[in-house]
Amino acid sequence: MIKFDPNVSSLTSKDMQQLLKPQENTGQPGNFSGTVKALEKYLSNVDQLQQSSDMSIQDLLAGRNEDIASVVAAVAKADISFKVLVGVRNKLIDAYKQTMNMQI
Amino acid sequence: MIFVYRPGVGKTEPAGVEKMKVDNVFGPIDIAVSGLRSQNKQMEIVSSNIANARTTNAGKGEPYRRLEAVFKSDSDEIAGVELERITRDMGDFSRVLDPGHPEADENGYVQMPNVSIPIEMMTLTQATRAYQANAAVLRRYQQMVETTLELLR
Amino acid sequence: MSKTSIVELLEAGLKAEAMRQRAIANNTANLQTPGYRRLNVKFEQLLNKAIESGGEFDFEEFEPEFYHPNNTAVKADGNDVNLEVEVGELVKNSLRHKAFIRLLNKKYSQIERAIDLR
Repeated sequence: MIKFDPNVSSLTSKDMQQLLKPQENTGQPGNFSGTVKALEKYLSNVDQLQQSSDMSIQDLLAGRNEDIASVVAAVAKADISFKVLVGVRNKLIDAYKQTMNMQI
Repeated sequence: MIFVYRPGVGKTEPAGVEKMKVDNVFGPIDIAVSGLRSQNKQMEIVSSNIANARTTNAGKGEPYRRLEAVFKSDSDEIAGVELERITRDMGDFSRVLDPGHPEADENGYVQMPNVSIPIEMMTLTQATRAYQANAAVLRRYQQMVETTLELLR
Repeated sequence: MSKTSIVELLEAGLKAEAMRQRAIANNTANLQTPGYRRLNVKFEQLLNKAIESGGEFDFEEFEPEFYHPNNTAVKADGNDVNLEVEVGELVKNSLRHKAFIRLLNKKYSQIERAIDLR
């Protein structure tokens, strides 16, 4: 049976939108630690998804698997979450560069 | 003639009769292949019957006796099919009046095989259709799995 | 989790499938040869045994190999090859091969994406 799980990560989509939206200059310190914490949670999630997709591939290779659709689903989930992670990383790097380029 | 053979996925097992193990991912393929093999055997039997429809001497002083195939399944759950055995049709031979025939008895009758061509042709059609159906299952299942794999592109 | 990466396992699986295709071609060519027993490739059982015998296994001692399965029905002339069985094996082989290639591709593109520095 294919386990239908619409949530790719445990983070809600609201968190993700906040993460990816350009931060306005509110003049207040430290939106950043919240970002870091959310990112850590997401990282462990992506890692978990990758591991379970690797396990399902290993089962397929060893001939112990139930059906190929579940392997495809697990791999697709892990892949999408990884793509999001890379997108977040790129945004952070861009933000850093932008900060460093600012004239003092 | 008794044949007992079963198709299966050739894993390492000691020498002997192989068991029909329905592999989980490729179950439909193995089952369809067992169907193809069984229908193949059925065709062999039909061709033997038709070829020998007028054989008056098949050894032991008797004409050719019609053969039938008996199929069985490994379990009452999901399983393929296999040929259990080939039985002989023990019906009466037909007798034809032909005094000039070398095999004729003292009354001039010759014993002919109990093969009925219309029945054999019907079995032939059935076996062909079943073979095509099994081949279609094989082909469609392959397409199905390939569609699933398209998601990985 | 074994210390062998999934990429290495996938590549070994691909190699096994390539070997199996040669075995199937050989079997089909010898459809009528008297005394010929069919060939197959042992890979999944080896991997399964290695996984079940504990988590870690050494990848070096892990080669797919040809073998004769001794449990097929043998015809009167010693030949045990059936055309339908070989066709079924070929279908399974090509599906597995496609799956492994695509999974490997996914893994490689993930690595590439990670390396792609801004």
